[in-house]
Amino acid sequence: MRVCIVGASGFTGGELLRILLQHPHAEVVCATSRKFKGEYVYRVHPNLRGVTQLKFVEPNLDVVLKADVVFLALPHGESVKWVPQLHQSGVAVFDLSADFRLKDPEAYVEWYKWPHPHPYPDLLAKAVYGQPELHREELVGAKLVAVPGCMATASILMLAPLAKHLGGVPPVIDAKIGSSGAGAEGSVVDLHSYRTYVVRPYEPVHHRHIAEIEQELSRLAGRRVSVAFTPHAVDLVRGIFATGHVYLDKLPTEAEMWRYFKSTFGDSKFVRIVKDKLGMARYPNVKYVLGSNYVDVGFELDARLGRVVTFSAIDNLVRGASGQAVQAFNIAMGFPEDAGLRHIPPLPI
Amino acid sequence: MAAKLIVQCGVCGTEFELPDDVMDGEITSCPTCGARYIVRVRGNSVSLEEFKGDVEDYGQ
Repeated sequence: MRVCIVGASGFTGGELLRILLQHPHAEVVCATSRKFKGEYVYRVHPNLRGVTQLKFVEPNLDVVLKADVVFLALPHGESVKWVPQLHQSGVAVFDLSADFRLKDPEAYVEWYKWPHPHPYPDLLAKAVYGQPELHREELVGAKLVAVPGCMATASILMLAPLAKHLGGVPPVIDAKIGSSGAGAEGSVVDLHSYRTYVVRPYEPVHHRHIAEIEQELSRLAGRRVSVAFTPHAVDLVRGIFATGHVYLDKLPTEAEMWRYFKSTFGDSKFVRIVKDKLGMARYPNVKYVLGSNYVDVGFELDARLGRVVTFSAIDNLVRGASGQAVQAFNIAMGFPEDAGLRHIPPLPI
Repeated sequence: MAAKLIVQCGVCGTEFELPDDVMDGEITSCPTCGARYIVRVRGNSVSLEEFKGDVEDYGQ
């Protein structure tokens, strides 16, 4: 299947190249970059030297439409300029931006500061939220997929098993994210001198991923769910670790918690439940998912406070973006769900 | 061929196999959650008993 990556010079574009160049059912026929057009992709993504002789090309519709499938790795607010024409032309679109994740057109005004509601509510309705474990059936044959946000992925998956049991108190989500989450063109605070040793909050009360976390948990719960979400920038390049604090009227037993998690993720190739009384990793750890599409989730019970603590660890660029996009692509196209994604995280790292 | 000795973890519900030659009093652990058990063999019956042994203890 011929694929094109639009916006291929950024981190998620680079990860799409890394994954799709080794995908057994994909042929990368174009990688666009306005900034680097004419340059070999390995000059921008040095890890791809010797793997491909592909060059970046100018992003234009004529070139892109030679592909059967288009991955959009563009900034928020840019994909919306591409998707209507691509969709109309019949190619399958996997959009890694937020532009088609939220079902409510008005939500883009509140969470993404758009001056007007989303201009294509019909496409919002058609777009499948591309979290494979929660939307697997809808993804089959999908032509427009909105790939979830990185911290949203970590947050939603660790709380999904409890969604139906949430009480009136909003779950508290504390997330830590590495510097690559800020993209390949970060601001001055992402320079090494400012970024090293950092542990600091980022958008502590109104982060835009709240919108999709609440959208998905509400859908699972069958009623409106709010979350108290605070992310932190930490001194990692890759990785997200999320901790959820959930207060319930009646604390589940450990056996019940196992049932909730197994029934949610039982058939997943990529979600690993890590709650082990033995061994080196008794709860999830970013260290053991790096470079992979795995989501490690876990939990603990606090009987004293009636609290369930949940955990998740992902690689933000793989499972939080490009790997999840390819997983959704595999399902949509009828390929094995893990095609091109069978990377075992390296250890030690 | 002898029937497989399948037991179920009382914590996470995982079913797992014990070796044919498992002995009474042997320590085993669940491959999923790591809960540890003492294997009890009584005639043809095999069961698991909670193991309350060593625990990790950090901090002073």
